[in-house]
Amino acid sequence: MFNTIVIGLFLLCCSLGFTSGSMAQVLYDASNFSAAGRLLQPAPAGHVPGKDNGPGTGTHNAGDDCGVCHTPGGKAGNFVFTVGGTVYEDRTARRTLKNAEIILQDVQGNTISMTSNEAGNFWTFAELASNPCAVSSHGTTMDYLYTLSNGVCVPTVPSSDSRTWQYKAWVKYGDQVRHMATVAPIGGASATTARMGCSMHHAGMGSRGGLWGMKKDTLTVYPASNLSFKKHILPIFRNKCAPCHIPGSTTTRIATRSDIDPAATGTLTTVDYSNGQDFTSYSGSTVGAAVKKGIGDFTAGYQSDPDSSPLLAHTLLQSSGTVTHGGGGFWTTADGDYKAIRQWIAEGALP
Amino acid sequence: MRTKTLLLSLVLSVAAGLISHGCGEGNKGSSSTGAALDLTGARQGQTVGFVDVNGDGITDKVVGAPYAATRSGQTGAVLVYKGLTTGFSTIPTTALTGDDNLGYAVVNIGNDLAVAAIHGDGDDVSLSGSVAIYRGGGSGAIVKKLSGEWPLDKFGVALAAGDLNGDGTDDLIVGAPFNTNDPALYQGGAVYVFFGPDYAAPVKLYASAANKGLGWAVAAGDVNGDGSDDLVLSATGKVLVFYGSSLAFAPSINAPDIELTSAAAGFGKAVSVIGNIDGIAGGEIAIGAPNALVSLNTVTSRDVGSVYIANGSGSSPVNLDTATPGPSGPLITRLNGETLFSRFGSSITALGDIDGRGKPDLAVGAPMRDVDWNILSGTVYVFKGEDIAAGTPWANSSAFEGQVKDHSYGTSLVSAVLSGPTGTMNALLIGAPRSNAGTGGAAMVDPATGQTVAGGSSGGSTGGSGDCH
Repeated sequence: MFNTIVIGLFLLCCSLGFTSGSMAQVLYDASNFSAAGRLLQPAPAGHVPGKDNGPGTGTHNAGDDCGVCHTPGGKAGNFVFTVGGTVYEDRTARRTLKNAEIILQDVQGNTISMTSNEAGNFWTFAELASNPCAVSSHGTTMDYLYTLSNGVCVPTVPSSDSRTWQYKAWVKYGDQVRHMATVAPIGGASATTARMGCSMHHAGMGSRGGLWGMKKDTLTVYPASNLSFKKHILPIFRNKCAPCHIPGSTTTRIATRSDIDPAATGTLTTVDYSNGQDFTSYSGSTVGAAVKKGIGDFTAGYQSDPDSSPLLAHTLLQSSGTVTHGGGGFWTTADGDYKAIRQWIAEGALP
Repeated sequence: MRTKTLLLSLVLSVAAGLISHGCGEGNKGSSSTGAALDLTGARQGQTVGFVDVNGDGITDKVVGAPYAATRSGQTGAVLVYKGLTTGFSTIPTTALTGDDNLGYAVVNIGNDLAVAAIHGDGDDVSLSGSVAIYRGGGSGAIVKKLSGEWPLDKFGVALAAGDLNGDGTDDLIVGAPFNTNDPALYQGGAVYVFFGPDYAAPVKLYASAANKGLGWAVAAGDVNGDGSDDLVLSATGKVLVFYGSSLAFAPSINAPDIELTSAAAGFGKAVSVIGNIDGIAGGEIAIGAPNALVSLNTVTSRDVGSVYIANGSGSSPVNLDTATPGPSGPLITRLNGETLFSRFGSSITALGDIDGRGKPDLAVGAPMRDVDWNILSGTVYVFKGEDIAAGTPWANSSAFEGQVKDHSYGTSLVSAVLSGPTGTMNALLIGAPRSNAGTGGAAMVDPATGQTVAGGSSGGSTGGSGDCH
């Protein structure tokens, strides 16, 4: 094992958009458990929702980082979670959400399902498979947790090392499924005993906003005309797009051999999850080497045909389940958010 | 020796909360807007306050419930319990509702009350967070509404008030920890100062490369003893003080008058100016670091928590981790929590001189402290200024403990001197928002005697005290 300085800021997670449940399933295996493989994929199906719910009532401390206490050596060290967190209606975290399903799938294709309780909380003790080709990266450090022998990964840490427990995640509510990308391993960069508390970043006061599951409009009411960018449009983008489309480096977290070793898959799969777009502003941003387009860059030329703007066409939920946006779909043409953006573009998309 | 005080009336309010499911549906309180409330999961006690809402000359009790649900689809409320000649109404007499997550924070501005709705709207922006200023005695009339600059700034997470420009009128300080003024400092936070009485043309302090993580905690008080209140705010790993001025209050984020630093986890999550303990002109600064590592029985334990009491002396920046505690400062003392994961220092409030020994006293919350078998029930400690000055802060301290599992007693604190038919009494209002799956509640004690106050405790799905209402 050795350490390498990694340039750039790695996202822990990105909470992305919705898909319908009709897409064909793709189970994980070593070939797609990579940065690109963690882009949009359909959720596992055919299991019993909540089959892996942890025992107990667990209605306390919604929105707090479960991993602080429910970790080996922690205050609740006798009740160590693998994963725990809180689900909200939307990313603003104005309200928690009951009966959402949180689905994980590990590198061997094992499915874990949890459901949120009346406080929005979920947790599990279920084990996740260890990825033999795992890389632990966080901030500016990177540890290879394997060596190569004849092109095969030979782990240098035991399979009990939680840094090698990697997964893909989805949040399902009703017939809507939202998937996560660039998901961090269960363990942190150096602490082999740490456990994943989603609320560390995905909560009302977390840097990425609430882990959310409900397809609902951002604002309760939109005017029929004269929409304001700051009052009506930017809140939508800050609510639904900001986990990925933010200023600065949004390069995926390196998690496995195929992310850094083209020989493993033939393709270097490091991914910028923002795709060069900063949707926290109209005109985009430049932070160091990260030059990003803004919301306004995707409206020019679409005033007479706003439905064709990539802001809408790329993120539309299709009846076929086909979505071109790597982060999934957000809306139908009947949704208030969609209609507000559409009207704003038709009115000239002024900042 | 610390005394341990049991609160009998608190047990009653907790009992009410536990059996609230058998007490009928929904909330029995009324609202100024006529909207009925569902207080399940409302987090009553996220913030607490005192103000004379109805103008009858008697202080009313205020309990924030930022996740209460109204029938009209809004989230958040402030429950007002009418002050009586002997205590408070046992049920909410008024519920203020408005923007989403109203009641996340409150603070008095003179006789008025500022209430934050962290997902509220402004005239030209939505979901930025807003702060409504209710006129004391105005029965809920809003005299001014302020808002953040951009969506999801969470304007209003922290509030404080003080006269920073020396004009005799309190000014409002608002933290917006998710503000982004510079893309290179994404979510670096901001602090705003709105000058009373009209709250126009605010001073804006944005995150800089040197000072970011703004907006999580703010306070005001006279630190340098010049008669004007000073601005105290937290930044990542720092607490910054900007002296108020009657000439012009124009602080620059990179030029604080005092810079206090510490590597303690969570340093600055709570700040308060607590009055003069060291005998040198000016008040002391109490700083909570609730996630601090502390050695307990030779084992370094996380989230024990600490409170630093500093007097602002010395050449800035002052590293409080290496300062030697002593009566002349810059670090007067460092108080540590008693148990693993207690998060001592999550909340701090000045109490005034409640023991009459000449120095100001303070209360500190440790809302995750276990009490016997009740995990996360929480504890509020009261420390006496005279003992802090003498270097024996625990000598006459007292503790008020939560009574049930997940009580989170001491998440928020506020104090006041209440008037009654038999004279005045000190009152400490304690928020406990996590009990009953986040339904929450509040309790009130006299921090000097441990006596409870009639109607001081409330919570559960009815928002009331005692049994089902």
